[in-house]
Amino acid sequence: MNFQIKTWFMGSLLMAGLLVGCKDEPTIEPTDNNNSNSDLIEIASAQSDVGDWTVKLFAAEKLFMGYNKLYLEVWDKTTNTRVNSAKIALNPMMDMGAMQHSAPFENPSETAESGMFACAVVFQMPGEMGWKLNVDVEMPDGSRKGKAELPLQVASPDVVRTHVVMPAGGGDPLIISLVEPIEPKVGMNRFEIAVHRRASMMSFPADDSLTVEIEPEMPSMGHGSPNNVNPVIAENGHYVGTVNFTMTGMWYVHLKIMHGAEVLDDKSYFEINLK
Amino acid sequence: MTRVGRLFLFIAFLSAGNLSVAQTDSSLRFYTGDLGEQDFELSEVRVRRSCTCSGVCCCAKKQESVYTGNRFVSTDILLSRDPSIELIRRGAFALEPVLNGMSTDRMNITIDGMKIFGACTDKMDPITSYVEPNNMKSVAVLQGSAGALFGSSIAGTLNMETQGASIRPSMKWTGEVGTGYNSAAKGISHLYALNRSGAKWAVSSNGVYRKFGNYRSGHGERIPFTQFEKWNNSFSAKYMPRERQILRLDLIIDEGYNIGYAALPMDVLYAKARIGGISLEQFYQKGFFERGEFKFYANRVKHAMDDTDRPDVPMHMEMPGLTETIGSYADLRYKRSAHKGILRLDLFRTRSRAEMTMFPAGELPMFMLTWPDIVKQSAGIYLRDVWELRSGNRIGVNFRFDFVSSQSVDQFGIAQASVFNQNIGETDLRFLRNAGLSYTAKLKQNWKYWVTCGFVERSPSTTEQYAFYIFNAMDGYDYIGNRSIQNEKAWQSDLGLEWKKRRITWTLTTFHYRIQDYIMGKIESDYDAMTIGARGVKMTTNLPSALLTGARTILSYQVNRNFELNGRASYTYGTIPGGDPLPMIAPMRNVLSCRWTGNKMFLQLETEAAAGQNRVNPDFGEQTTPAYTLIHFRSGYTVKTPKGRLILNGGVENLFDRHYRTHLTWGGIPQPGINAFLNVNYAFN
Repeated sequence: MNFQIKTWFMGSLLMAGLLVGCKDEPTIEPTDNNNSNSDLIEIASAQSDVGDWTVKLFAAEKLFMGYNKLYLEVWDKTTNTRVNSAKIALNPMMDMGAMQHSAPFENPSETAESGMFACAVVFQMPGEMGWKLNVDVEMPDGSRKGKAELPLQVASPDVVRTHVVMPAGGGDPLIISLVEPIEPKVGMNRFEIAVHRRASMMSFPADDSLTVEIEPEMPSMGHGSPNNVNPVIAENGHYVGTVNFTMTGMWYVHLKIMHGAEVLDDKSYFEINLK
Repeated sequence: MTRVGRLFLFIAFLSAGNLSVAQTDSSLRFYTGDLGEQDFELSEVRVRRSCTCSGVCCCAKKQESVYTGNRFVSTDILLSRDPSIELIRRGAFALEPVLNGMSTDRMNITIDGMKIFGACTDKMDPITSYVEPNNMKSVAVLQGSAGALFGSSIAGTLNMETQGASIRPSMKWTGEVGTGYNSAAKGISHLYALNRSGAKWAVSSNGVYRKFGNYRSGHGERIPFTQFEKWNNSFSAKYMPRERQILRLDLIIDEGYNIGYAALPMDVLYAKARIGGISLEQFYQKGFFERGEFKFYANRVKHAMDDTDRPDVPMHMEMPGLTETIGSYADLRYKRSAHKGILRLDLFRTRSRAEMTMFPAGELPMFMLTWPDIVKQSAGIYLRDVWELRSGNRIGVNFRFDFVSSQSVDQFGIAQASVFNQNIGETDLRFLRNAGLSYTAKLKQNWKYWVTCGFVERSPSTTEQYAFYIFNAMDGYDYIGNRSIQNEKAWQSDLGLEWKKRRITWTLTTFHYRIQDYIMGKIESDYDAMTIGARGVKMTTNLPSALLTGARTILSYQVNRNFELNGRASYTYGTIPGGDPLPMIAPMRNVLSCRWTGNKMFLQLETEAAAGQNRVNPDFGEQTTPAYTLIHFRSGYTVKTPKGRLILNGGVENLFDRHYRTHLTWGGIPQPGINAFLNVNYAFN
């Protein structure tokens, strides 16, 4: 009798043990497509005309028409070391033979991070040849100066990543470029665009004066997503908000660009594909 | 074998009363054979004589025998013969039981006490669809707090008790084969059962195969997408290692294919369940404890929705779902002077995952997790004590406490839910309390009454808490779960009255639920529907209160040796604050039958009538339903052979080919018209 009661209690303990022991997580199919793309590829490199530098250009992917995050390494050939502090000024140029034009860009700060100077260029057209990036390098104390010229190839991306918009009421054309998300995932995504005015073919100042609204849509189903946050100005013409995707597939993020109450553009959208 | 046959489909009631009855028996009975069967037999007697359920029970009364013999119906149809149960129909298969106006989210459905959860986000596979009457001994319908033995719930519990192997050394081999035809759906059913018994062991196996086409409704219209095909096979083994010990193993495999759901935009490619349990029972000869049981179980359900056969779909869609559950419980039953009761500890862990993928032409597939891989774990303790007073009156009390935790274990699912500002990767922990008190007493000669009151509480279902754009074809909304909703709780009371005089038994039971934090979908007009053509989005919310009340009555009159009259009726009323009706409440329904039983045959005429339902809630896509009356005719004939019995059952349902629908049918789909059926069964021993 006692033995039997004991058996019962042992059973209960065993039962508890079994469940506790079963705590291992079930296998989850890899549906996460948010691989951190820390591996940069080298795009181009060039020697400086004077100053004994090698300038190397890196990016996460091949250059494309749109907003490209770029990373520069400056190597001092005399010491064969990376320069961590320098004044760097970019000047992207497209030489189309009959005419030349520049592009919006963002210069790096004076201090490199992990040996790299982060900067950006918005290429407005693709080209196998014609694009080059002029990089002026100067030591912070002005002791040394030089210039490197990197030839570039710019591809046409699968989906449009930058728009040129003629404001409805006139004024300088606006260049609206998608910065984030580059690797979109289902759920919350940082949404960031950069807006530049085309003041001339050589001058593209950032525009911080706008109001931006976004509306995601899944065009083949006609639905949107909840709780998006409209982008607001951060700095240098960058507007940051949140876009939510509820499922994989093809999404449009519709834009409405306003200056005060005046609607400059409400036709543009970015197509974003989630695998 | 005959006894097995007789018991097979009997809807019995597993209650405080009959559980304890089993324990009053002498060891002699125990030694003579299968214990489960004696449990059942005793409960059968007990149920007929009086009811001692600690909640109000809808014990299978004598009139249920009118329906026995038909082993060819499905479990859900069988269940609906209980007046407290109605069925939600989305097609002709896997009808969803509704207990006192509350559907499957609000009740436990268990198989031999084992927890198992449907894998379909659209409730197309209630657990009743994974067990066949051919494999069943009884279904216990336990109302409100009386069902707490099997888990926390508001409405109560449906526990399907399987037949299992029978240890009967006097009959080495027993078995049966049968086949049936159903004209409305041109359906065929085949079944078999086989039992082999030794002195201390037995093994059994039984199976069913069914294939039904689209059925024909009244007036000759064939309803597309009401077809189905399925098979079910189970295996059971029992062994007595010692004289008062039983080791039992049960396995059930159930597979359905190509199942049409006329009321939904999708059908089912397959629905597969694997269910297994192993238990050890110990019966003590003397002392405080009477019986101990330890059980471990595991099951897995896979379900795949698909729209390949549907015309005019905007794009192809697939929706597979999966649940995996493991669990265990340990029981101790005791008896001391006038007290008897049970203590149960139970644990389970279940994982639910459902996906949806759509394939637009020339674009990336669209994928989401409609159940974002939710792991739910629960630990509970249950205690019941029944005190039999000197007067023969009884007081019962029961308590149950549970801890329930849930969370998503899939990064994709967690990211997905973040768009609704919900962090479902964190553990959600809930504590549930259930308690019930019942009193059963003789009033005076022939009269008896019982009163139950209880507090019941449940945690939200996976869908209610974690759904991600689950489309409900009834109201046309996409549902979004709300992780932070409150537990639903209710004060519940039942009142029962029984009058019995020689050949007449009449019972009246009423139930009353005052539900707090009623869980329901609420329209969120800020959100876009995902499903093409959906009306909008509903998010789960708590309504401050809801009221459900109703009554059932059963009358049984044995006019003479051959002639018997039976009647039953039920009515439910539900309302939410502001006076709007609760959706999906069946109207008044009654069934009357008269049966003549001779030596070898029976004949039965039956009317089934439902009132119209005009109290509807249009927010839930409900439409009013007209009243209907149906006439059924059933008969049976038994031929004894030297080695067994041949049983013929035949009849005509919906004799006048009425075009009708029940109120709980989705999408206004009409029910089958005239249906002739014939079943042939041969049982041998």
